[in-house]
Amino acid sequence: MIKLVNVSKTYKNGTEALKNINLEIYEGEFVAILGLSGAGKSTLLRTINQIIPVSSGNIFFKNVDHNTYKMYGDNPDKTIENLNSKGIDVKKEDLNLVDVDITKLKGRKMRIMRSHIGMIFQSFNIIKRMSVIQNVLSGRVAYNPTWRTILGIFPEKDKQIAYRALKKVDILEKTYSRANELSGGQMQRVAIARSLAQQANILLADEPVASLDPITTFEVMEYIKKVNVEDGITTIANLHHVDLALKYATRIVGVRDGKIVYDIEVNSKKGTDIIDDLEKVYGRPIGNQDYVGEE
Amino acid sequence: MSKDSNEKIVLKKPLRFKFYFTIGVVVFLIFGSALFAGFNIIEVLSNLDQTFRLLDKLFLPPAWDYTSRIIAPLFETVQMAIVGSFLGALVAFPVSVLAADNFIENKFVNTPVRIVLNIFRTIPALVLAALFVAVFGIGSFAGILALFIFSFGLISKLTYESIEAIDYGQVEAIKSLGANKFEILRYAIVPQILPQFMSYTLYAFEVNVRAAAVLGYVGAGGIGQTYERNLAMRYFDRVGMIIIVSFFAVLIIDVISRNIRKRLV
Repeated sequence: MIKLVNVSKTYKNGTEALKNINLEIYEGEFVAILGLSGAGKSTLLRTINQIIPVSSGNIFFKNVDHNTYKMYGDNPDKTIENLNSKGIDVKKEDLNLVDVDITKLKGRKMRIMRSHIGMIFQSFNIIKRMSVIQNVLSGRVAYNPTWRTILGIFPEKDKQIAYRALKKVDILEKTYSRANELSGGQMQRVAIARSLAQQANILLADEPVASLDPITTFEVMEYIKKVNVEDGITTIANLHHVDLALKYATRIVGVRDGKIVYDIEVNSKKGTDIIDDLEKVYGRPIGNQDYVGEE
Repeated sequence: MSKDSNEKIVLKKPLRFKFYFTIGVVVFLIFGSALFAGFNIIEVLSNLDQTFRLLDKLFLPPAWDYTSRIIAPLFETVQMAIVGSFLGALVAFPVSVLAADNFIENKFVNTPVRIVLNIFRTIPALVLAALFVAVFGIGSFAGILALFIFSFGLISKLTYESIEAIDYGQVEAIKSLGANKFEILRYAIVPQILPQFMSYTLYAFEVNVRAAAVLGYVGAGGIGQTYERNLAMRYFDRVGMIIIVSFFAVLIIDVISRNIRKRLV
């Protein structure tokens, strides 16, 4: 679905955050990226939607329709079949499926491409002075003309998408609350709903639970997993905690010093063995601070 | 008790040369300026009786019956301040967006805009008013223009600094939705700075009311013009009444505006 080829990123101050990264991510995967702070996890995630531009290298998205920049994933026939079963009329012969390199896109094309990639953050980054529904509707900006989004008038169809997204994360009753009245866990659920409203094919989660307490952590992780499984949204999450990665991810990628040093399918090896391997990624023993703990 | 706990602790005080030097420079500047400007405390004291005579003429008693004729120019003053700050805010908003280097990441845009803003801010409102009176003639229009330029300079400077201090994470999030520059402004920046922006506008209004009271002195309308006329005719009791009424008007407006601002931020 996504293929990073020789991706490097050097910041203006000379920090080499990413060094020649090669990584392929497949449709429907839940990839946990683990590594110490400063290893380059956040930069890696942000290059995928080009919020941070790469210094060199390419990031390809497979089977993107060249007209609409919609993603049809690793198996376009199945995707089209799914869409048809939902009553969305798509024919393969109308599509012009190509591999698109997001690092080469500019302006409107870049924005359309980005709109298919959701992103959630450690600090939630929802707009605190707006209502929950406005926040979720902001996920529809790229689908509407600018005058509409500036005035904040969204069509009924988009409102329905937003309500459904809020229902999915069980927060429909907060629709008209102001976002700053919510708890941390609720804010992150609104952020997930915003990504759902985007109808994103990919979800990038940058330390999504790092500022939440243990109970809320599992709650939010469950919603991310639900979105990943039920909606087939390919998920890439930077995580701090080893046990969360083992519990929710299908694949673990270890990053150290800007390089990928570890890459494994979670169910291909015993959990305890993976933890042993991760000591090499972290360069230190895995201790209590690397676990959220019991649910 | 251990042995070393009885030992006398000797800490070497750091030399505070820089501190004393700064104080010296400040004192020198104050006295130097007073000397240069010909300020003489003896002269002030020896003329104290003159001051009391003037105060007596102004306020003992003021021309109470003149109050009714002050109200109209006073309202004109407040109107000038309202229109001036409103227009200033209107123009300040887009300009401060251009001046903020975290939104328009282009020094060739930010720097010239900031230079223009700095130039506007260095011109005192009174000078602006005198200039506009010369161009547009005597009246409140010149005063409004002066206040407009003055508020514009004040509000835009404060606003662009607020924009530069916003939480950039929200901008990142809105950008990741595929938003364009206008949408980023609408969703990530305006909600964050709107309360501050309104507070700055009200603050500009407060300052404007005070400034507008003086502007009339150069013929730019408002209460200052009434003041100037009466002073020229040496109707000191009327001048005293104008001072009293303006004082209370400014006080009331300040209190109201400050209360609203407190609630905004």
